[in-house]
Amino acid sequence: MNHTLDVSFFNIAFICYFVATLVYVMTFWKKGGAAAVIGKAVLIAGFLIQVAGLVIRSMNAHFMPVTNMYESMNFFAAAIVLFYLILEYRTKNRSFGAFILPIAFLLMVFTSLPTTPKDIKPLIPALQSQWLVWHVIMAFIGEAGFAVAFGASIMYLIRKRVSDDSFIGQSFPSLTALDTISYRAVQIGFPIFTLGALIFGAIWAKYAWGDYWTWDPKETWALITWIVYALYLHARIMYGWKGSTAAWISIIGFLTTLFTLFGVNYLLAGLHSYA
Amino acid sequence: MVKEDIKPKETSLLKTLGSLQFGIVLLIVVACVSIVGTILPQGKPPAFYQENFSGPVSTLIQMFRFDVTYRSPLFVGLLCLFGLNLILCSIVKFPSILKRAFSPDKTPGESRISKMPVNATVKNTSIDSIAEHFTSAGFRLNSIDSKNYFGEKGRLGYLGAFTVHVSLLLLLAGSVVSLVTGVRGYVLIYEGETASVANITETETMPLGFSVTLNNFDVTFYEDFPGRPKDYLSMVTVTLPDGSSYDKDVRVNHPIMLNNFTLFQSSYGQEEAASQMHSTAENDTALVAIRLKGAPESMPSIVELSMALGDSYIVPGMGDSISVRLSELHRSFKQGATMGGTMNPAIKVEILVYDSSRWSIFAFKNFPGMNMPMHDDLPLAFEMKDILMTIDDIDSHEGHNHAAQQRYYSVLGVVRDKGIPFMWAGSIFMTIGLVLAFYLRPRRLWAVEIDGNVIIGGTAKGSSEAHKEYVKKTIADFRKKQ
Repeated sequence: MNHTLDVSFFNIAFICYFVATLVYVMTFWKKGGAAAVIGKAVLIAGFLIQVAGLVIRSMNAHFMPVTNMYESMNFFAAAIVLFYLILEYRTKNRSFGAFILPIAFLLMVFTSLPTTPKDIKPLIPALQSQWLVWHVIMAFIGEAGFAVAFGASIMYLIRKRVSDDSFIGQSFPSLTALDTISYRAVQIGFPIFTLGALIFGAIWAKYAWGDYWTWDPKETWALITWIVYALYLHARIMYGWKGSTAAWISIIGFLTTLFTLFGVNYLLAGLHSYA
Repeated sequence: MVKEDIKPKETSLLKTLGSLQFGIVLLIVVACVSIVGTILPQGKPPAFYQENFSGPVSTLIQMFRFDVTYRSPLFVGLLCLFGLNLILCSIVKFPSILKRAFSPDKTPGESRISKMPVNATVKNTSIDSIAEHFTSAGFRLNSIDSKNYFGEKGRLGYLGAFTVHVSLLLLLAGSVVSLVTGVRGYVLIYEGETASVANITETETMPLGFSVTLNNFDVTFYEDFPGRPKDYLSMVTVTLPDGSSYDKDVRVNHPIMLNNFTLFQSSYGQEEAASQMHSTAENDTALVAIRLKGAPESMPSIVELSMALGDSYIVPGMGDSISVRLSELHRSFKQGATMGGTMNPAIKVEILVYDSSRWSIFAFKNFPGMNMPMHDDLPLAFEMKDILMTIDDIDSHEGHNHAAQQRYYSVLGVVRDKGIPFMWAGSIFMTIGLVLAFYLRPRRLWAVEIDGNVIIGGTAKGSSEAHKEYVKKTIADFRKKQ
């Protein structure tokens, strides 16, 4: 059995993301030129290689590769990069890359740590469920939306503090555009996250353990994340909370997301110990 | 006078309870309390919190029942208030939501149309040709007369947010029903046997309303990964009260869902361990060594007795005053909910002084040095050397610890949950509501013809930018055609 091919692909994707992130961070104010072309090419290459790695791994494992931290973080990073590429294509602005790509890169750093098990293990009975696949995939796609909103919110707060003439002011989109993009990203992520993380997760739990909801720390933190973004949406619609306040809520939301993913696993214990 | 004073107060209280501000505050508090529940160890005895937290904190924990956060009156109360908030705000908004979705003003008039977020004027044309063009471009004609046109798209999108809120109410209602009517237990069935009641507690059972026969149980492991389970499979026949029956494979993630009960694969074991747990072991005997407590190991025991359940024996050398009686004999002692695994033979011995029981302690075959509890003033130590089991259904008593046959039993977890229909309804409503709210973008167009010119106005839910672009483009196409 050769299970190392997919890991090699993920490692190459990791290197690509490292290079791309570096290029984007160091040249985010440039509208075009060699750096822009190289950065984007390396990023797209990394993305395609990562997707290929996911495909190979799912063929080896005979299951969607979203059943442990290593696999799901690779999936999450790929989703974030895809969202970013769509965003760059639609806005024609590459400064977002300097704030969104580092998230994908750091996720890859995490997957590459020696302490993260990389081998394919066949599924224990509790994980053999299609609800699990939808639960994890949709939760991460939703969270990729939150990651984009997080990047745009950070940019908003930076943009607000600098003058229009500065190179940041020149290269970033307008405050309104940043605010709208952050809002759109939450609008895209929120329903997918709600269905995937909460609803499908609860249905899976019912089939596997007999209960929809057991207040296990991961469930509870996913609910807290959901509450933060629900507040974001309501405050925006009803009170017109835009701009800095919205940006801060979106940042808190993404930090909660990260705590749900990592903090709960390493600081709190529960039924989700394998994920 | 008094009546008039009270009424506005009631209205304003209801208004507050149903307001969005109140809902937001509630959600923030729910989130904070939830965090406490994930950080603070749950379900520990009061002594634990007293030991680990300072006085005031431990008092707070006890007062608000943060030891069982998610079942505490505070938390349940917060969720009830949130439900009330949802009900009130839904009731308040429902008529206006319906009106907005299904009976909008079809002829708002020129002054209002020209103030809409999207507006344009097309000169030298008629309402009919504009209407026809927008219809062919994808707008649904809602109403038209000689002077006024109204078309729309994605009307159901107006109901999205409302549907999501109703789904939350259904989910909340479902969890209340689960909390009130929910029962958790298990059924333990040997291969070839039938169960029709679930064990809720040690003494309490609950009829399932159907019966389950375990035809066969099988556990499989992955070949290349020793000890990694692949499948736990209970092949059962479910028999309904009317006599009809069907076969079902119960495995993890594939439960039986019937009569509000969910029966899911939970645990398994083999008869050896099973019979030890459940047999009274009446005819078994235990070989017990009695030693002087604290005596060096080299010193022989006072006596080795083959003790039968319920019988008393005088301890030699201690006068006639001290005797021991075997009060319990377990083939496999279990503590807590763990089942299966290795056997753990144990005895409980009572020490009688002048025939009245003074101490009683446990000894375990697998843990020779251990006596529980450790009575300081007890002069004796007990060691369970062996268990001599009698196996009723077999003639030969070959070995001591060998089971008669390797018959499996399966433990199916049982949850009775009348909230299931609410949960499904809530999930379905949530899915529909989210799709309507986030993926349908309701757009509307009004047009009025005045003196050969047509004034167009439009609105869109959420951002109207896309709508503006669309209307601009459609009008440009229209002019080209002309």
